[in-house]
Order: sequence, then structure tokens, then C-alpha cells
Amino acid sequence: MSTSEIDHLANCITTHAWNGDRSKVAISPNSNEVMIYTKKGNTFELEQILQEHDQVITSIDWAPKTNRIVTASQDRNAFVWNYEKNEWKPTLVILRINRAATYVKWSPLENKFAVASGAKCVSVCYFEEDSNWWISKHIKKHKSTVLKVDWHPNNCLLVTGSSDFKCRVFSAHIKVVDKELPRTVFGDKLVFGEPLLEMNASGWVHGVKWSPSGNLIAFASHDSSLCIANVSNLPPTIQKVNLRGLPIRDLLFLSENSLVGVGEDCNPLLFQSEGGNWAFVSEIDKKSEQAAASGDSAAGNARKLFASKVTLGAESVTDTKLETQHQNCITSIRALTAGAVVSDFSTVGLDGNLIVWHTKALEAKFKELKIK
Amino acid sequence: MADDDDGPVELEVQEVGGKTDAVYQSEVQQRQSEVTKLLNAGKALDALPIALNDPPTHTKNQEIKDQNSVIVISVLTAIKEAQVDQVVANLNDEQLDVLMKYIYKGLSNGETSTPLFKWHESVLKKAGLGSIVRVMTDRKTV
Repeated sequence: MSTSEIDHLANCITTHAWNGDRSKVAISPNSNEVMIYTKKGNTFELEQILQEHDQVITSIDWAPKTNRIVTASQDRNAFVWNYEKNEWKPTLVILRINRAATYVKWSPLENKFAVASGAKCVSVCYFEEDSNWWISKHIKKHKSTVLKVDWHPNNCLLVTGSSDFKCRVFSAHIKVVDKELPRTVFGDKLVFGEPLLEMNASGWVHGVKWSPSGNLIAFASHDSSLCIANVSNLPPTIQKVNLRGLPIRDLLFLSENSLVGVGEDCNPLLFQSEGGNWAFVSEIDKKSEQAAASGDSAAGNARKLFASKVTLGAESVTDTKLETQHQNCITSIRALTAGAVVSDFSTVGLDGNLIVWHTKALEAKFKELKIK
Repeated sequence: MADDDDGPVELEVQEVGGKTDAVYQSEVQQRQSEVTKLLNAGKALDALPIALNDPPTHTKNQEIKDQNSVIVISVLTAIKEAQVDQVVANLNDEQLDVLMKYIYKGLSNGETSTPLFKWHESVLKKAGLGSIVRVMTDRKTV
């Protein structure tokens, strides 16, 4: 079985989201349109283009059970799309923000979604039956743009990453929507918008994620580091892992003990915890031994030089092709399989590639990549 | 909306573990005397960990920082080019990050660039691009 499949869907992809049965993927090709592709056999076919936004769409999320798509854009709007009669019908959401929306995520029960924005606030939106409208409530308390949000499995807690160098946890409990207050380590009284926890980072916080159990928060910041905070007991114990390479933009927990970070290295990075101690394990996009050896032979280089002299008139070998499968920054990572351990995940990047990675095949090929 | 200020926001980044300037000053002087002793004895390799230890990053006093950087650069230039790789191999991650910060500080002065470029190459190979990113993003400067 192959370790990964690569598809070139656009010039540049900012974000992507899969539907419930993973037969369709919605991408934003760094424009104001959403392109929905359907998987036909081994390739993707463009099925529909959704046009409603005026500016670049920064984020898309597809609710698997209710089959609704929410899109957020730099035009300060968000739309919820419903599939009726073979068409996607948009409904405007009044976010009441005066800056771009940066990220959007459906809550686990899909009855709310949170929109992070440059207006230093997060808009938590829910559907009000009486007015037939999506209404937003604001979580302020940020000193700068909110870059990412993630929902806790209990549907009420929200972790946010902001460019004010902090990662915060808020209560996003809305009385009308959430029937009961969950018991959390942050106490029993959860007031909406109340900051429950604030953690410092040394750079803009690009990626935040709760672990599957909700006991850990991982946040990656622009100083090329990854912090994992254990919030099962307060005050949280925070571990910082400094990266060898460039900053991470997005995170995905494959299991409670395995975490994949993707970012400007163009290579998914695997981190694992050994009894609570997190450390970098390996890059996921690796060339197997034979390929690496044959790529660097002197004869091969001489041939490349001669070929480029003939075709391009070049005097030296200037190869701008990266060794990794992604040729540019990876912007987004999504899990394909649900369950306790994620066995397949997909990444998209600024090079316009959508790559699906299979961890079982990777484990078989490279011994170090064992997902726990 | 009430907080609609379009002006630049003063971000208060909490500085944990700052010592008073007086404490930093005495630490720097102590470091200076220890390092000079070792350099005079020809033990530049031993002087490096002491020079890199606990840099005065939390003070707002630029003079203290400059004094410390003079000490570090003097050790870096005292170590022979041939030994640089071996020395770098023995440093831990934290020391490598601090060293990279001092290399860039020294390069910005422009005087001792040749040995500093050798150090830069060696540290980059060991610590990767992440160390340079941390030099650029860390608000606690040396």
C-alpha cells in the first residue's frame, strides 16, 4: 500500500475540509471561491464552485453529521451553506466584526461554530429558531488578532491562539443551545466569554488543538516551538519543544500520545509522548534509503547540468524543487479517519497540492514512525 | 464597539524571572573576571559555557547587555577555527540558542565577522533553522 497520494488541485490552497464520508473535499484556492471536488476513482473531479464571498476565503469547515459547510473570509463575513436539491444555498451570518475573519470551526455537536477574527475577538454563532438567523456572541479579551480556535470535546470550552503571544481557554457555553453545564477542571460555573486559562508563548500562536480526551492542549508558535500543556490539573504543566526547522502552522492529534505538526518546513512532523514527555520523533515525508542514495550521484548531477545547459541555457544546476512532496508551506491538516487513533490524514499547501498520508503504510516502511 | 482603537497596541509580555539591574551588573562583572582568567590561562573552551550561562535578557539596561556581549565575543574569537565544530557538538540546545543570539549581535557590529561566520555555519548545522527563527522572534534579547 502506498504511503501517500498526491493531487494537484489548484495553484495554491489556503484551507480544506472533508465531508462526513470523505467522498468530497472543499478547498479555497486562495480566492473568494470555494471549490468542491469529488473523489472519482483515483482522481478528484471538480463538482461545484461556491461564489458568495467578496474577498479571500481564509477558512472552511464541513460538519460531518449535519452536512453543512461554514466559510469565513477576509470580507468580514461568514456563510453557512446548506445542501438542498443538489445545490449549496448560502445563509449570511452576522458576525459584527470590523476586520477579517481568520478561522472557523464547527463545535463537536455541530450546533455552534466559532469564528476567529482580526477584530481581536471570537464570534461564537448559533442558530436561533425564532428569528431563523445565525446569531453571534463575542468573546473579547484578546489584545490582537485571533489566529486559531479549537473546540473541546465537551462542546463548551474553546481554546484560542492569538498574535498577542498568548493561548487562552474560554467558556463558550450558551444557555439556549447547550442544555447542561459540563463538569470541567476549570470549575462548575462557566460564564460565556470568561477567560479560564492564559498561557504565554514566545511568538504568534499559529496552531492550537485539544487532544482527543481534552486533557492536553498543544499550541505552536512562531518562534519555531511547540508547547503541550496538561490541563487535567490546574495549574497546567507546560512542556516546550523547540523545533529544528521553521514554525508550525497547524496541528493534528493522531492519538492521545501522537501529534503531527505541519508548517513552513513543507514536511509533516511527528511528535510523541513517552510517559508524559513530549519529543520530536521524525519527519513524515522521508525519502527511502535507495532513492536518497541514487539522487546524489556525480553522474546524475553531470547529466542534469548538461540537460539544463541544452534546454535552458543555464550555466549551473539551480534546482528549486524541494525534496519533500509539498513544494511550499503546508497550511492545513485534517484527519480522514475517526476513532481513537487516526490512521489517515490529509495536508494541503501553498503549492496547491492535496496529499493524503497513510500511517499504516508509513509505519511499515519506516520503523521510527510507530503511532502509539 | 468600545475598543475600536486603530492605533498600535502596547503588548505587555510578562517577563518572568527578571533580576534587578544591580544583580545583573555584579553577575556580568563576575563573569568577566572568570572568563578573563580562563582566556589568559589558554582555556578558551572552558570559558564558553560560563560566558553563555544565564544571559542578562530581562534587563532594560542596554549597557549591561553590551558588556556581556563583549565577554561572549571575546571567547568566540579566542577559540581557534579548527576547534569550533567540536565545541559546538558539546553544547546543549539551550546554549546553542543563546550562542546564535550572540553571533547575530556580534555580526551586527561588523568587526569580528570572519570568525563569527564560521561559528554561524557550525551552529546552523547543529541546531537548524529553528535557532535562527528564535533569534528573530524572541523578545528577550541579549
